[in-house]
Amino acid sequence: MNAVGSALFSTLCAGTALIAKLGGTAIYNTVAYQGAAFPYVLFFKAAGVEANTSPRRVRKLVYVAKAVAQDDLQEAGEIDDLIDVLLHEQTLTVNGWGTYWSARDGDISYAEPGEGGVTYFHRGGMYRVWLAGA
Amino acid sequence: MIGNVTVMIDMARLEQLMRKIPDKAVRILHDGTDYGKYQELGTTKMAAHPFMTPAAEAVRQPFLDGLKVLRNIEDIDTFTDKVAYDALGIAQTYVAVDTGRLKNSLAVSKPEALGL
Repeated sequence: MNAVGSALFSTLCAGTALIAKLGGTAIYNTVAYQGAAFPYVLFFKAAGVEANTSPRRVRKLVYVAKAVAQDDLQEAGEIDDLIDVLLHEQTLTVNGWGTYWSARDGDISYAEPGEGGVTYFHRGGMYRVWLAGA
Repeated sequence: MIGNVTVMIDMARLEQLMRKIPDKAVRILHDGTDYGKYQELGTTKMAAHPFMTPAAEAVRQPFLDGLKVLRNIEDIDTFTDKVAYDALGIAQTYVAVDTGRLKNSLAVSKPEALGL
């Protein structure tokens, strides 16, 4: 399922408003590198099941895509909105797969206390991704 | 000539009826730690290790399929309870284990038990 990660990365990187807000392509798959500057966008696969309801292969995936900002809840929310524009009910091209559909399924919002009184705000969503065999 | 028609809506009666519908076909799968969400969704220092989402996704379709054939609230409640415990078992296989505190804290509860 690396193809889905690549498709998500490409789609997010193509969002000019998002890239401008981040000040570059600060978008990471699964884990940000140590010392990455804030804010950034992180996405990862949270779940995946096979439908197995027909001969045509169908996979139902759940990805989390979120903004991580330091001491700035407002900024995290604004980036979350930009992610949403790019991923909610949008069509992406996933190599090796035919039909693609994605939709936001729920919100994520939590604060992570850091050292020295710093707070990291995580704001984003869970995106349901359906893939069908080509 | 068309006259006016006044429709009276008896909300008290409706609410009385709604209270008679048992609100028990609900189960909540939860953990009992303050760091479960960090395991599930990650932190700035640690990648996410989802365990609740895979569990929920694994039982989602079987649950929806089962609801289609159940007809009374007691059966739905029993079925919901079974599905919740299925999800609990799946979450326990996915959850990262260090001390075992998070895994051991996973539980299924009715909303009223959590004050909801």
